Amino acid sequence: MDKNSNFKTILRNISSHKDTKILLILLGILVFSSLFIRNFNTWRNLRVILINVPIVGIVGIGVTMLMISGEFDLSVGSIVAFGPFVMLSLVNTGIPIYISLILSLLAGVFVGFLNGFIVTNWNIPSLIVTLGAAMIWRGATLILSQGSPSTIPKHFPLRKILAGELGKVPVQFIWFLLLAIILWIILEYSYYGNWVFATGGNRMAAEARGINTSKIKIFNFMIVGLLSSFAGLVQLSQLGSIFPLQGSGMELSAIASVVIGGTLISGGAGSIIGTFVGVLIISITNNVLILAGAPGYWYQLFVGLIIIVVVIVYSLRRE
Amino acid sequence: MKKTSFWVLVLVLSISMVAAFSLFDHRTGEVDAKEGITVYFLVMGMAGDPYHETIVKGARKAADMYDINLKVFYGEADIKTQVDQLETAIVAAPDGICFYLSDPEAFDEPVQRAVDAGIPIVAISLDDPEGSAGNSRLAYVGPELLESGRVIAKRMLQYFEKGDHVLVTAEHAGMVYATLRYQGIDEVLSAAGITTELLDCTHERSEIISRTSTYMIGNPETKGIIGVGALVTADAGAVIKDLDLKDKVFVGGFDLNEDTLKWIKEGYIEATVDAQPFLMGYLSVQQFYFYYWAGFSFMSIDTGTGIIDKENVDKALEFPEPLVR
Repeated sequence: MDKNSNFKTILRNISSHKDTKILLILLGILVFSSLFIRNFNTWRNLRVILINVPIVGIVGIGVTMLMISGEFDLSVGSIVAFGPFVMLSLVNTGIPIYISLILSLLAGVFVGFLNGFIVTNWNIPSLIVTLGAAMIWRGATLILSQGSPSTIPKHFPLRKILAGELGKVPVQFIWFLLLAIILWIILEYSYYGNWVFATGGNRMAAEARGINTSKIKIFNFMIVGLLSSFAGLVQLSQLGSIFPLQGSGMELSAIASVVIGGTLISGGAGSIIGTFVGVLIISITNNVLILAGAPGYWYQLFVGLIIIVVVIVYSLRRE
Repeated sequence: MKKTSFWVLVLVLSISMVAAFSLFDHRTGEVDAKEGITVYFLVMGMAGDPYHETIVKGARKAADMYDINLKVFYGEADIKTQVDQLETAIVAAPDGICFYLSDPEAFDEPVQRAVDAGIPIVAISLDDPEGSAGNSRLAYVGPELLESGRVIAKRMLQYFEKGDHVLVTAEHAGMVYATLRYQGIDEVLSAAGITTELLDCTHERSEIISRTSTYMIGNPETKGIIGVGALVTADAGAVIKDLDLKDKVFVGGFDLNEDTLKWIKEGYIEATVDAQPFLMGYLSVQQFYFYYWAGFSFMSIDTGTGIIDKENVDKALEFPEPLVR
């Protein structure tokens, strides 16, 4: 009897967990694809997914933190290009590579800080501020690069560390997993995570409880900036070169992954696991469509459909 | 407090901008405003796209050499934006306009208005399918897209047999450059009994590599990849290397950049068509100088469909300046 009730309790806990639905959706997609899509179940194909997912994924988990606290960032795509060009420009002026790398990450943090500062200090919607920021930092990238692509320095010491292979697993996916675990722990098990949820859930109530919501938002913007710059460096290491247009449109892919993962656009609810799975769902959907021979113009339509369906499912669940 | 915050922010931003621009080695591409000829240079694509930036670089070189005041605008791959920019340029009444004829209908009226207003107007990189019969532009400087598709397909034929399948990749499959090049490619390959499929890959490089790789995994019988643009060509080489398909799948494409040249040298790409975009920009702007200096007529110039492959890649690689070759 005790064993049965324990089992029922475990089942109830699993079924009521906020990430269960999205995990079940992913499982369903994986089972369907494995059974019906030729070549899906090969290591070669899985590797393509594991390489494709991390760039948007690393940006997405940062965006998750920010959206839970009630804000958006449309400048992430620009930072993905800006960060690496900062590093390459510094290296060209003779600054040692490790210092250049750190400064490029700090450049991302700085951009995030500026975004957060302007949003919180003047109460301007983040959609507008970061839209402007997206243009500013894309413009800065074009000025830095003079429109030219740039190749990675020949002896860039971190190339294999950022985008090599560990066994057969792409290292960039391990970075994505690691960063997701860190942010998940912070969000779900720390005071800071509580403050993030409180800030996005009900800002006035959070303020009344003594939480400095402005600082929380600024810090989340800085996390997004840091992770976007890092994602750009990973992409640079993977591709060996960077074009000034890199990252264009990535903000929408990141937001799509976050929304599919269950984070509320209004803030106050969401999860890192959800975003992790959301990124996988989008990537696997594109992958399956290509393997199945669907015309290329269908991809966006399907991703859009998934977003709508998932959002409807989440809203029904909340009712 | 908010006022103080505002001035602190302004100070921080100002110091950052000054530090950034003094620290970095940057080349100023803008030509200083001078007296004399002013030419509006309307680029179809997005700033930072290597193909368009090479055209702009050629234009700036000519502007610099011939003392022309060049104003560059980017149309962000949107026809409406390009038409609006052209209309604005006509109102500004410059000494000349260069633009991409990226739609066979949308530019007819504005171009006629420019001609009627006495503004010399030259099309570059993209032309009306009917040439001067379809549009009043004074000249066209650039490649013949349909023909360039045929050229690369003919070059790649040696690697394929009847019944083979070839993937054609594009950054933006619906755009004129992609459809015309693909048409030329398909024309030649279909005549040889080879099937083709056009895959839209976007211009985001991770997505290009992911979609191309997935296609190759899902269609292992694919014998070749032909990219119709700079990014898809370069990244096709990366895919061949990543999937270990060298000498099993053969890649051709368009345009030059460091990555494509590297892949040609290493044998992952067989050949690319060099439309010589630098010369498109240079020769179009140069003509305005000769027009105003001595009344020379504008000339249509085919900038070529030269093939770069392993035989001549070293020459291109030797050239040190980016966005020229």
